[in-house]
Amino acid sequence: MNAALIALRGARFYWRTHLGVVLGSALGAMVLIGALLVGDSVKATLRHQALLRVGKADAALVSGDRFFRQQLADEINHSAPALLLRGSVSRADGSARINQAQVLGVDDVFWQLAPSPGVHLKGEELALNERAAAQLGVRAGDTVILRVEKPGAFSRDAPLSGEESEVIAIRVQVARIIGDKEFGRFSLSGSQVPPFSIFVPIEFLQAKLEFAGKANLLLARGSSKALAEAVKAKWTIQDAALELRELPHGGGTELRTPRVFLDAPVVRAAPAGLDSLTYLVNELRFGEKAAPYSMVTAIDVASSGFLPAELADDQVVISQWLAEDLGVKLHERITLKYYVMGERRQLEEKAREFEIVGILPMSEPNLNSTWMPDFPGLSDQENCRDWQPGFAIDTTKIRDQDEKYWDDLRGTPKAFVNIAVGQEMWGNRWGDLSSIRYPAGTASSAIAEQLRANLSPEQVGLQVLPLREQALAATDAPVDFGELFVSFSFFLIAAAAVLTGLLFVFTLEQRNAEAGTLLALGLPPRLVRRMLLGEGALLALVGAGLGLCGAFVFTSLVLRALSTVWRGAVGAVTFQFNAAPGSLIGGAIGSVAVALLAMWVASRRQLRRSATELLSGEMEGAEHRGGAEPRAANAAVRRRTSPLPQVPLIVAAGSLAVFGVVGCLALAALLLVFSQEATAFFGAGAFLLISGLGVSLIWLRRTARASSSVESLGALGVRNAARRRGRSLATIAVLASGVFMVVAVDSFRQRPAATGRDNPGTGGFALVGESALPIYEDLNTPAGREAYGLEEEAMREVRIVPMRVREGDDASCLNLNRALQPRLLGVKPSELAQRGAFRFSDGGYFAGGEPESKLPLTAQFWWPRLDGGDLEDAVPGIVDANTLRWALQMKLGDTLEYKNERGEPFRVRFVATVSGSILQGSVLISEDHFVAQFPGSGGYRFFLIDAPVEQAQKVQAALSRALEDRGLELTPAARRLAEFQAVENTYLSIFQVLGGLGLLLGSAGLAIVVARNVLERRREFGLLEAVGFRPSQLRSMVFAEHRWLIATALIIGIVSALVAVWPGLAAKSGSFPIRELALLIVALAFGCVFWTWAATRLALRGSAIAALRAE
Amino acid sequence: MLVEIEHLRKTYRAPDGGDAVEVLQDVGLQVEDAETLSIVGPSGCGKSTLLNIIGALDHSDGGTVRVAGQALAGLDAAALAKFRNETIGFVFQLHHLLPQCTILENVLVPTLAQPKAKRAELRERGEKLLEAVGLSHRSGHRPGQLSGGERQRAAVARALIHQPKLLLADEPTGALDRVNAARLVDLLEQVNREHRVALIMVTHSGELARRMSRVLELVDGKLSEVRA
Repeated sequence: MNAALIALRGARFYWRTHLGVVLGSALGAMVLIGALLVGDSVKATLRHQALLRVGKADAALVSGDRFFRQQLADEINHSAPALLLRGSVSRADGSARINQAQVLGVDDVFWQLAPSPGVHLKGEELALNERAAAQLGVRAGDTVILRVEKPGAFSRDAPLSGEESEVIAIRVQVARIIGDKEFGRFSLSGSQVPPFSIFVPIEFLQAKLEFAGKANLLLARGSSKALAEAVKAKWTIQDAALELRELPHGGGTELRTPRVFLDAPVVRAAPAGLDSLTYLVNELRFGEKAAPYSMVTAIDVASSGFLPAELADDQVVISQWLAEDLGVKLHERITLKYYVMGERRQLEEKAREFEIVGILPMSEPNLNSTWMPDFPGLSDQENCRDWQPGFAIDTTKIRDQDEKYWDDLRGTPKAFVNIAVGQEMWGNRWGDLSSIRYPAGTASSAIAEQLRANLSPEQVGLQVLPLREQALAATDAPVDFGELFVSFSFFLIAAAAVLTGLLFVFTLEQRNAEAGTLLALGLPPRLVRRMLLGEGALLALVGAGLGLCGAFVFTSLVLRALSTVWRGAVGAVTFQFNAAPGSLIGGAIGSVAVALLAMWVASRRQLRRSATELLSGEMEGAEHRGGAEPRAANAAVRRRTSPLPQVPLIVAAGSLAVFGVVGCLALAALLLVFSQEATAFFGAGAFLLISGLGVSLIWLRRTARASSSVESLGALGVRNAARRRGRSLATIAVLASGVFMVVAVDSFRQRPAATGRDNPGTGGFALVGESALPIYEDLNTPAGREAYGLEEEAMREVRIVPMRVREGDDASCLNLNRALQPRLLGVKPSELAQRGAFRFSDGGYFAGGEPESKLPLTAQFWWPRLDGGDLEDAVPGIVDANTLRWALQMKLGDTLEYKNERGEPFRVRFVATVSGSILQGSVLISEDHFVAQFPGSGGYRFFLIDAPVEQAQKVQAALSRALEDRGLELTPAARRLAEFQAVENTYLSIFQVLGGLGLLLGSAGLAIVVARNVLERRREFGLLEAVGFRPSQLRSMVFAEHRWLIATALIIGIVSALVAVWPGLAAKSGSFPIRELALLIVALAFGCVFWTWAATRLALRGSAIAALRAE
Repeated sequence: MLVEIEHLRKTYRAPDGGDAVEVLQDVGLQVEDAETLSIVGPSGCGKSTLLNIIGALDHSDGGTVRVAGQALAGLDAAALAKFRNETIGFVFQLHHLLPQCTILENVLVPTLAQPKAKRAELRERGEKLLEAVGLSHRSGHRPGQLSGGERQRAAVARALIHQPKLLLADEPTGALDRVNAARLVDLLEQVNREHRVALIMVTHSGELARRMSRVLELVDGKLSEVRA
């Protein structure tokens, strides 16, 4: 016999009474555990997807726009080479198209790394993943057209990079559709939505692209460290696009690159030799005579051995051929004209004069064509007129002697200048040397070895990624769906807790004498409280057990909703159910704690009563049972002074008030989440709600004091409602606030963006475009438009802001995965500043580490800050506020580390944020900083297009048609913004649905209030019955009393909520869920009426005269 | 002297400060060990209030109350509970037995306040008490299975489990018929004799009251002796 046993006995003995408490606890447990299981399921699904994404590969070697030997994969065990390119694919009949596709040239080793190996592609077969197949609507056997860009040796932004890019179209039959388990989800970046993927045999792709033996991706098993070590051991200078060639006639060895310019790290790592830079100049002129399109070599003259030991900056040594061609002599001055590549491939011709200080005879052995790098579109041409150097050449200037020179001497330089001068004229971000020469006798192997020793693979663009580790890390979603659904289910959990508490205290009241007796017998109050709460804990435990079962159903329903009606929040994902033991146990413990807390809060005052108070309460009950002698005046006075009869009502009102207050806090949290300004309408609605409650209170006071006669039962009921103002007001306040919160929260719903130029979310842009392949030309210029056949008329008043793209993770709210390396966009800040694009929500970080306040939050101020530097060696970046806060979980002034093209880390420091914009998901830095970090990347792939509203559709059609080969996909900016907004809106809908359910459940609490009101006044009803009222009339009176409260509450709640959501309603945009909310309110009204009716009937069962007899 | 009360006052006030009712006015009372006395008076005169004050269930507004040498004023809730548990036995008009426990368990409920007590000994004592009140055959039954008279006898056994010095009975026969009421008073007298426990009983029944050694009447807040 101990306290625990008594608690256990109590729980069993009163099981019928406790049923409500158990069900309340079970409901709370079901929602709480269920919400946590939603989190588990989302996590498990993301993890499952991540594992499908990387298959059995643990690490990857990526080289981006550079290419290494496919053979490297053979030298590293268990590794699969791949050619990873961007491209577009369409049905053969053109009826469906994917602009942003991932094209993978793979071999059988790749398929062996799939989660379920077994795929084999042979010959010229092509396979699509399920998403791509679904998008195109194709099956095995159908024909598709794949378009990919023929990779260039180096950036097409660079001077002399050759003719515009060449897009290869491949018409091929679909051999099979690749399922998720077969590697259909393969991707280097994490997202719950797989990319559109096209798979072809690597040899087939290489052959089509004339890129035999090259790869830019290698997948391997084992740790990334092991792969990095293997790469370090096995890489050759060929993998760094370097070559050593023996010069003819014992001229020694030359280090050169198909990329034309030697990278700076390579130059630093290479053994010292004869540096040279050979460039194609537009002309060499002397007076009226000019030799067009000639090679000129800048060289370290002192080490050359065939040039004067010194050449001043304005001195040149020319060939005999040129001297004769121009008719010049020593010490005469010639003009050298050449192009330099400006922004967006804008050519700028520059000129410089040189004095001739030497003329080399054509018999000079060093006067040969080996100085000329392999300029694409030039070196391999038969005739000068066929040259395609990457800019338009004037073929009319090419003379017969020029063609003959090309035939006989190819790219033999016609002039030599000092290396320093050459670098000054032609040096660029890709390099300032085209070769380094070593004297005869220098072993190539020694040079190569020194290069390998001094260079890391990363410096030449070979970067190893811990693929599996990153994939799993990305599944640590920035939004914890468990927490999210716990907060969204707040109303439900709180309603269940309030019900549990109310019902528990209700049962305790029936057992006041029991508690009083225990206290009278000398049991310490603490022990008595422990016994009763122990009983409550047992009930909560049983409830948690039942809730655990219910949680499986709840979770399944929520997951189903997330895949269907709420898919806007997560994209088209089918979640798999998962229950982690921690969530089950933690959720169960949490739900028991919540239920116990609710019981403790609700019964706290009850359990503090003295023995006499509790026992006298029982005596009152005994009288009701009849037979006892009535107590006299002192007892009546004691009852009046004792707070006992009011206990449950105070508790009920208190609990409901807490419910309301915490609900307000939840709402405040929601406002923070959506970081939207509280609109004036929401504020007006809230004030109206408060005013309505104030008016109700005044009215209740007046009614209570009214001296006019009561002329109907209904009027008597209303008068009764006014008798206990606090309780009545609490009922009105809770119901009205609940309605207001659930409905008014809709005012934070994001409305469809206006298409005008003043929309801050779209930056005023009409269209957003992304291309699969880079676009190098400036589409704002006639030349750029002409290059794609765009008619000037169609592009009238159209301005395009192009951005460079460094692929990375999608950090927008559309991605459930954690964005480890968000996509980088390089933008010319002035283009956004001039037009005042986007609304800045915050900004303030400059050098020195201290945030500066009171800076104007204007586009004109902040965009130019991107060009700044010296942010503690960090590059300034601007990002969407939601991306920074939620996806990156960082704040202004924080830095994010990236690796540049050379494998060197660099940091982006967030200096400002824009709000609610289409820039969500990416980090913006200035184009200058971008190209400094990624000199190899060429062209633009992200576009913001400004066009007159009425022209937008035509512009979209024209651009899509003209740039189809580049895989340009255009979306109205307003629609893109709406896609982002849909996520927030769906979260609001979830809150409203779960909150509405909580409100409905909470309305059941009204039944308890009604029941208490009736039981408390049983004698009064006995009197009324004794003087001739029928029981049905008494029920009508009670019903009228509470009906009035319900009606008042709903009217106040609805009217104030309508004011709050008026802008959404007035917009008539269809985004306001008027039907759903109306249904909720009707259901709530019915629920309240039903509970009132049920409680009235139950409480007024039988005759109330017995209570009167007891008096 | 087991109970010593001097100048005891108790007033009930309405929440608004008006309508004060002074139910006990300068009450004095002395009770010897093992003495029996009854308190009678009209309904609402304050009999139960006086009993509750003696039993440390209620506070006085003035005067002193000493029971078994212990002044009750100034004791906190825990000390009062301990005092009740060790010194006082209560029998109420209603039995207030825990319906979820057996009769023996109900008798043992007061012992829960003493976690270090020897359970076996207490159990044995409980069984003896049940035997003494004629309920040994009912020890495993629940209160719901007993008659009204049996339940009150069980309540008496419960009141004696801690061998109190003073037994307070507040209208213990109020819910019983005449025969059972007489039997219960027989039992209380027997307890008084055998256990040497003082008994103060509040009752409306003059017949039952006269069976106590002293009868006191409470009228208009004043306590006076009716019969020595």
